[in-house]
Amino acid sequence: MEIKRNTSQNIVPKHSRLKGSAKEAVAGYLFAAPAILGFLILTLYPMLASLVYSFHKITIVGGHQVMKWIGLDNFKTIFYGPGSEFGKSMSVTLIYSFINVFLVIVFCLAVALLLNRKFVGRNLLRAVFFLPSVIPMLATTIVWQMLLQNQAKGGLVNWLLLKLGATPVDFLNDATNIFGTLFLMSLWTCGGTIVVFLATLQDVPGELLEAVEMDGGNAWHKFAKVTYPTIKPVVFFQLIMCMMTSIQIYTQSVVLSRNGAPDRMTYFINVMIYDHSFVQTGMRGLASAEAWLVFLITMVITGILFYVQGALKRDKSTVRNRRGRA
Amino acid sequence: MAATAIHGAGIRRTKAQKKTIHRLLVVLSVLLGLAMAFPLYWLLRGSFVSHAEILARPPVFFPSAFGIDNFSRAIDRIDFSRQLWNSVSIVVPYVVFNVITTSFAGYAFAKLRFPLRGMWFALVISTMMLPSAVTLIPQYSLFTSLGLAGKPALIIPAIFCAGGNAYFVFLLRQFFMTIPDELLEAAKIDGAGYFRIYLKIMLPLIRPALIVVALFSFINNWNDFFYTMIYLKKEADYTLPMGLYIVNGMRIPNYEQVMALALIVTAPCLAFFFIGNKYFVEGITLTGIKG
Repeated sequence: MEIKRNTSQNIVPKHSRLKGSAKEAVAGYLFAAPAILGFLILTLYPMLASLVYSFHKITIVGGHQVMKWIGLDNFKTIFYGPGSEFGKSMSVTLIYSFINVFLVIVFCLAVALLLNRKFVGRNLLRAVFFLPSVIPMLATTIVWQMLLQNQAKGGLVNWLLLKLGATPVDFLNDATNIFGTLFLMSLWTCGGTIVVFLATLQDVPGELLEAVEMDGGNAWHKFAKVTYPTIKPVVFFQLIMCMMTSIQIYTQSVVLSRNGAPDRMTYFINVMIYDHSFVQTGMRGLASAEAWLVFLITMVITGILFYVQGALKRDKSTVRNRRGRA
Repeated sequence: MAATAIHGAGIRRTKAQKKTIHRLLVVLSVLLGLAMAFPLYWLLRGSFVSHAEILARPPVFFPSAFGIDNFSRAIDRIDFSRQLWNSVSIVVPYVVFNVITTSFAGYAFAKLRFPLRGMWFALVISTMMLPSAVTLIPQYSLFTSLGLAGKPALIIPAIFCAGGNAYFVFLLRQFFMTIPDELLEAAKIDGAGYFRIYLKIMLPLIRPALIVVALFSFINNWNDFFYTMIYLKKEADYTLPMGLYIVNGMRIPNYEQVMALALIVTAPCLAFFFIGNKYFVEGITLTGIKG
């Protein structure tokens, strides 16, 4: 995996040659022990165990977990079972995640560029954009529910629409509109990413921007030729992290409805896996299989993203080299 | 001469144009900012209006009176003091452990040389990109068999830099790397042990980063809902956010009370935001840039 290669390259300091004493090694392991043990006990072991679980039927008898080997049955149920919820759940999750990541990155970049201009009160505005991101998702969802629900229940937006002579919109119970609502909430709470982009924009070399301007370049040229190449690694990192949080969306769904309504459009994978693991009985093996599939799909997606980013980088550098030679 | 004058006018014109564009963009930012602030204002409004006002048409934008009725009624609907205590008794040890162990790990990965350091660091960091579902059930079984499924299960990941806390290891490692090695070498020559170096030299230097970790870790834990739903099954263990969730789901939620409760649940986050805004920005900045 590329990320591992990258990070390990960063870590090994150039001057670490044979100087590390045994004492330092012991101290290092002691200090790193919580993190290493945590990785082994709370990540590696559970990951492998859930792989094993996924080939079992798990029932709870008298408070104890009883496992019965059933081979690939769980996976067969997931793919061919008549009542399988995995396909729909995974699709809505991925659709939500891809659109959400795109919207969040574009919105945060745009806002960061806006707030990067010099004007009075911009620090206050930056704080305003960041503030919603510290609010519990639970409270966020409740407030947006309040704003967007039926006007008879006090929904402000629909009252406004009615007032303006437009037809009210069912933001919460319509299978398509619900996604709009989720995106709104997601954009409202993405202040952290805005702050990251703002910070990164400080690294954009001003001289280069001026040079582009001297050459008659417009704002788009400046962004495409100077700003974006500078901030690209950070944009990529944020994209990956946003992908991970999007795929694991949970709170919004369970606050808005408890069964993935409307039409199971918000029955996201974490909601489904929670249900299969802790609400329904005898489905923990199935849930483990589902979780492993989610893990594999996430790996594939991040793999593709890393590959695409790497390919773009290679492309750019060959272009640059050719130019250099010419 | 004439040519330069025309040229100058051209530049002036584009300058004027630029100024208008700049002003328009500033106006756009302010409008967007107002839109961002509006739901917060709506939350505030909702927690102070009366029951009649919250459903009133046209909507009441400013409550007629600022009473605390909604708050006291909302509090009465749940076991408030108990839930508050539950929340606090989870979040405080969580934050304390998190700051201690993530700074340990950050120090080790940045400053101490030990075999396989790169591998362990990469493995610990890679947990950031792991969907939590894949470890969920075995973790649950593990905690259950140890008799820890409940509040301890929500705190223990903090001790082991697990559950998304690898992010902080990463952040603190970045901070530790900025401290010059010479400082460490000098302390070693003076006979200081690794723990003393960590405690007396390193920690004071990365204090701002520790504050960032404490703040984020507080917010993350306070806002967590997934694990809370999984591990807290007994009503006596419910946290404040769960109380809010339950009231919100009631057949007659009384929205003004839900809002009041939502504001109570949000209040600590807002308080920490206003105290630590500067640190937040600093912290995010550092992780983002080095990311």
